[in-house]
Amino acid sequence: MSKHYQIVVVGGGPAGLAAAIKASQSAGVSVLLIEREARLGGILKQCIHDGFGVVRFGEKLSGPEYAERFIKQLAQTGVTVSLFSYVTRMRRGDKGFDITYVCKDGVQNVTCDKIILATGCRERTRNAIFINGDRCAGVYTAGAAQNLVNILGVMPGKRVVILGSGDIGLIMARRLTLEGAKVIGVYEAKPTPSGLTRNIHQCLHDFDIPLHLSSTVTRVFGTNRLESVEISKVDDKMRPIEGTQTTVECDCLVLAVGLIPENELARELGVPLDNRTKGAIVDQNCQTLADGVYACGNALHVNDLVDYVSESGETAGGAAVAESKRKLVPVTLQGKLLYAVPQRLDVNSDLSKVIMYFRASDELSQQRLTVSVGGKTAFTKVYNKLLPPEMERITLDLTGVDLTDGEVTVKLEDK
Amino acid sequence: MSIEKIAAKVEKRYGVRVGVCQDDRSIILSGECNDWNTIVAIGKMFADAGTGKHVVNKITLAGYVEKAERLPAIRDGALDNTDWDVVVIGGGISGCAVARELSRYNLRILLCEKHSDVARGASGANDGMVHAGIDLKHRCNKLRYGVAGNAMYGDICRELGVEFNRCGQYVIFTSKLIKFLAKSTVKRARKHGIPGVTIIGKKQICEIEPRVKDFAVGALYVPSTGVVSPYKLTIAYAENAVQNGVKVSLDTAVLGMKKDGDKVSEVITNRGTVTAKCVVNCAGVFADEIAQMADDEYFTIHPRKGTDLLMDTNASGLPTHCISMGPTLKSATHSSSTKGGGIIITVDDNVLIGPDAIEVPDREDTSTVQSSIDSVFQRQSACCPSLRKNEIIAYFAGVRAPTYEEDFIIERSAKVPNLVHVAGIQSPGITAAPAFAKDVAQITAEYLASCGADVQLKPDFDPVRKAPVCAKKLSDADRDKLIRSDPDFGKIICRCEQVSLGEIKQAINNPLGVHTVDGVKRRVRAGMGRCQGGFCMPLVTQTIANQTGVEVSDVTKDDIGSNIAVGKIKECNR
Amino acid sequence: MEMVCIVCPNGCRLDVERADGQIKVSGNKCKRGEIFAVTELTNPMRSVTSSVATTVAGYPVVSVKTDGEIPKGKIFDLINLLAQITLTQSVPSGTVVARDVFGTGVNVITTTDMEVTNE
Repeated sequence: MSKHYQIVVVGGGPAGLAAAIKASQSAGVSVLLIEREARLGGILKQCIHDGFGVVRFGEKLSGPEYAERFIKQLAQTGVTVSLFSYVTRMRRGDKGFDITYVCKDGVQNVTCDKIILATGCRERTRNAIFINGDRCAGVYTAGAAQNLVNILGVMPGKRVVILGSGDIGLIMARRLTLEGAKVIGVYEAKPTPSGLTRNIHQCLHDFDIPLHLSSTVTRVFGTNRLESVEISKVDDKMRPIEGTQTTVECDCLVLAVGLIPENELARELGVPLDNRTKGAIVDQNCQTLADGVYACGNALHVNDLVDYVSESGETAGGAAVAESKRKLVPVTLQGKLLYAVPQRLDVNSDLSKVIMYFRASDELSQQRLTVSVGGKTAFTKVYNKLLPPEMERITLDLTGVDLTDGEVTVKLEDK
Repeated sequence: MSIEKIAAKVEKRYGVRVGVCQDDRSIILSGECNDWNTIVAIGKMFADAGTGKHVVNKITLAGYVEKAERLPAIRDGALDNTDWDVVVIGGGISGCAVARELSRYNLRILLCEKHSDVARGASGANDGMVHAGIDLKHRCNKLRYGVAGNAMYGDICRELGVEFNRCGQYVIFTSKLIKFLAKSTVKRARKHGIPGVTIIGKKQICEIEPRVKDFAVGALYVPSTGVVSPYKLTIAYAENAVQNGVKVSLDTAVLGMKKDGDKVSEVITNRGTVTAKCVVNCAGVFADEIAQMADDEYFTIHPRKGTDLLMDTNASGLPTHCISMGPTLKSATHSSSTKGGGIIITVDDNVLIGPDAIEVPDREDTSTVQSSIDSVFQRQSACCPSLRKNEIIAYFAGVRAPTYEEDFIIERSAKVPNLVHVAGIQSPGITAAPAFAKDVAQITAEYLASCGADVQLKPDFDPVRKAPVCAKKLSDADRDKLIRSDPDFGKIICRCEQVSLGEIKQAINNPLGVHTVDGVKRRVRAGMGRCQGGFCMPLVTQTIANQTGVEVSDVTKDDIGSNIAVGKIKECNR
Repeated sequence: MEMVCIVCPNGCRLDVERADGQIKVSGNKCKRGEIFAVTELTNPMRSVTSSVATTVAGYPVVSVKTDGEIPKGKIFDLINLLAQITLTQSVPSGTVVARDVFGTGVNVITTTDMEVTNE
C-alpha cells in the first residue's frame, strides 16, 4: 500500500520550503516534501553573498541564512521531508497522482491529491549559445563555478573572463576577485546589462572590473586547460561582427548566460508551458492548466529576488489545500511586455489580491501599465523606468469586476 | 594512367609541381602548395590512378606550422626495462579490440595509450552507427571486415556487456527515379552478403516515420544497421583485455623505436623503454608516424574532421528511427566522396545527427566550428524538417584517419616483419573492429609462433565482461533491491541522466584506473544531459577526490593538466 | 553627481550634490539611501561575505559574513584574516569566528548551520 498525502511538494529550495510550510498550516493537511539533494535550501546553499530577504524580512541575509529561516520553520510543522530523493515517475492515478521516487532506502511509491512543482531552474550552457572551439577544462557555468568556490573551496581559475552580466555573473566576478583571481572583464552580448544595477556597482565598479557591452565570446582555445578566448563585437541582432575579433588570454571562462525553468516533471504530467516564461501557464493560485498540479518559484518563471520566489510558493501552498472548480479566463498582453504571470485568472476563486509579476521587454522610461477587463480599466500604474532584468510586481483587486466574458488585458504603453 | 601523366594533370589543374617517386609499395609525393584541400585532392588523384600502390603524400602546406603533437605531461620510468611479447600502440577501438583478442593467447601484452583514458580519438567522437555496408562498392577490407563485423555485433556486445540495438535504417528517397535505381543497391547488397535489404513504398515509410511524409516517395530499408556507444564498446574491450592479463598503460606515448636488423626491438615511451617481440600499430591519425618511427612509411593519413550534433531528448519533432536522405539526382551524378551521414537514435535514446567531412591539416583538431554545426544541421534536417536548432544540447568533433586509398590497412609489414599495421581505420571502423581484431590477433600469434614462441590459447580466458549497473534501466523491484543492498544507488547525483552515487563510484573504480570527470561521464553519462554537468560536475569531482584520496584541485577533466580547479581558495590555502 | 544606492535590491538612482560642505541627496526611496550617499562620499563601507576553512566532514568551507559594515579599503585585509581561521567542529550559523575586526566593532559570523547532517 502506498502512503497517501494530500500534498506532495517537489523541491526543497525557497519556493518548495514556503509552499510546504504554508500548506501545512491548514489543519490536518498531510504534506510530503521531496528534495533531490542531501540538504534543504536549493541553490541558496551556495549563494553565500548577502542581499536576500530585504523585501520579506527587511534584512540583508546571505543565501544560507535566508534558507535557514524557512528550514527552522519547516521543522515546527508536520511536513514529512525526504532528502536525497529523486522523482522518477509521476502520473495521474486512482487516488489523484501516483509518484515514484528513489532515495537511499529504495524505490518509494506514494499517492497524493495535489502536486506542487518547485523544481527551480537550470543554467544555459556553453553549447546552448554555440561557443565553439576546444573542449578544455576551465569553462564553467556561473553556478558550477560558485559551487566550486563556495562549497568545495577551490578556484576555478586565476585569470577569468565572465560572459553574461546577469546577477550570478556579477556576484562571481566579485567573489573570484576577493579570492585573488584577476577578473579580466565581464562581457555582455546585449547593449544593456542583465543584472541588477546595484550589483553592477558593488560587484564590478568597486573592484574596477570592466563591463563590455555588445560583446560576446565566440571561441575558446586550450589543450588541457583553457588558454584564451576570442571576443567579438555583436550587432543589434546579437550576431558576431566579422573582423572585430580579439583574443584574451585567460584560464577560466564563467558563463552567466541565462536561466531556464526546470520543467521535466511538468512535461511528464502534460502541463502546458508558456513559451515566454518557459514555465507552466498558471492562474493566480499558481495552479497550472493540469488540474491539481501547481508550479511556483523559478520553475514557474525566473525571478531576480528570492523574496518573490517564496511568495509564489506560499500562493501555491495556500491554494493547493482548497478544493476548487475552476473557470479560467486568459490574460492577454499588449505592448512591450516580456511576460506576465499569471497567464490565466480563475473567476471562481478569490480575486481581491491577485499578485501579478511582469517584465518589460526593453529598457523603457515613462510607461503606463494598464490592466483592463472588457475594455474597462481595473488597474493602472505609471513607471518612470522599467528594465528587463528587474521584475515588477503589482497587486490587483478585481472583486466586483465582471470577468465572466470580459477579456483581461495587460498593456504597457508610453505615458 | 601513368603517374607522369597524373603529375602533368595536377600541374595543369592546380598549378602545383609535384615531385613524384615510387618504390615497390608506394608513390611518394613531394612539393609545396598553399591550399590543404588541393594537397588532399592531389593525393587522391594518385591513389585513384589504379597503380595498386599506396600514396605517401609529403606535399607541405605553405606557411603552415604543424602543431606539436599533444603528449602526456609526465615522464617517468614506470615501464622501463619491461619485456613484452606484443606492444599495441593506441587505445582506440582498434587497439583495445586487438588487445582483447590477443589476450586469448598466453602472451605478455602491453597497450600504450597517450591520453588518460581509452577511446579519446575518433572512437570516442563518432555517431556509433554499426553499418550494414550498403554504400561500399568494391572488393576491399572495409567491405570484408564491415560485413563480417556487423554480423558479430550481437554476440560481442552480449559478451562485453555493452548495449547494442540492431534498429535498422531507412534511407529516404525523394525521387522516383532514384528509388528505381536503388534496385541495383539491393542487388549489390545481396551479392555482398548484407541481409534483408529491401525497397519499401511511400505508404509504408510514412507509417513507420511520419515526419518524412511530405517528401518521401519510398525508402531503402536496411535491417542489419545497428547502433552502439562507440566509447563504451572501446572501454569494454579494454576492460576485458585487462581482465585477461593485458597491461593497459595510460598517459603513455610512443616516442620512438629501436631496431635490430629489420625488426623493431625496443619501443621508447615517456614512461620508459620496453622490449617488444611484436608491435601492433593501432595509432589512428598517427599510424603513419608510427610506421615512420619503424622506418616503414608506405602510406599517409590525411585527417578528416566530422562534427555530430546531439538533440535534447525532450525536443519536439524528433524522428523515432534511424533515417538518412538518399541520393538526389544532383548528388548521384556528382562524386560521392563525402559521406551522407544521417540521423541516429543512440542506445541512450538520444537523437544524434551528422557528421560532415572536412579535411584538416591538424591531426588533433577536435575543435568545433559554427560552419560545421550549421551545415550538418541544414543537411540532416532535410529528412526531418521538424528538428529545431535551438534544441541541440551538445556537439562534438572527431578526426577520422583515412589513407589516400580510403581503405583499411590490416597486414604485417612487408619490410618490418614484427610490425603489424592496423591503419587507415575510418568509417566503418567501429563496425569492422570485432572482425579485423580477430584477424590481427591471429596474424600476430602466427608470426610469434613462426619465430619459435610457444603460443597457446589460454584455457582460462574469460570472454565475459560484466555490464556496469545502470540503475535507471532496472525495473522498480530490481532497483529497490539494488538500493537496499547499497544505498548509494539510491542517491542521484546527475539529475538530468539520473545517475546515482553508486554508479559514479563504480565508474571511478574501473579496471583501467581512469579517475577523470570525463571518464566518469563516458562510463555512466553523468553530465551528458541538458545541463551538461552544470549541477553534477562539482559533485563528481568531489566524489573522485574522496574515492581516490586526492585533493579536489588535483582532479582532472581528462588528460594530465586538465585540472577542474587551479588550487584552493585563499581561506583553504595553507 | 549620480550614484546608485546598493543598500537594497531597489537600486535607487541617487542624485547627489555637494554645496557649502553639505551633501544633498535626491532620488532615494527611503532614508537609507541618503545615509548611503553620505558615507559613500566620506567613508565608504561594505559588508563582506566569504568562507572559512573547516576540518568537519562534508564542509571543506563554511560561509561567513561581517555582522556590520567595514571600510571598503579593508575588504582584502579581511579576506587575508579569514585565511588564518580553521573551524574544527560543527557550529550553528551566527557563530563568531573573528571578533571586532580591525577595531571596527564588527564581528565575522558563520552563515550556514553546520549542525544539519550532510549526507
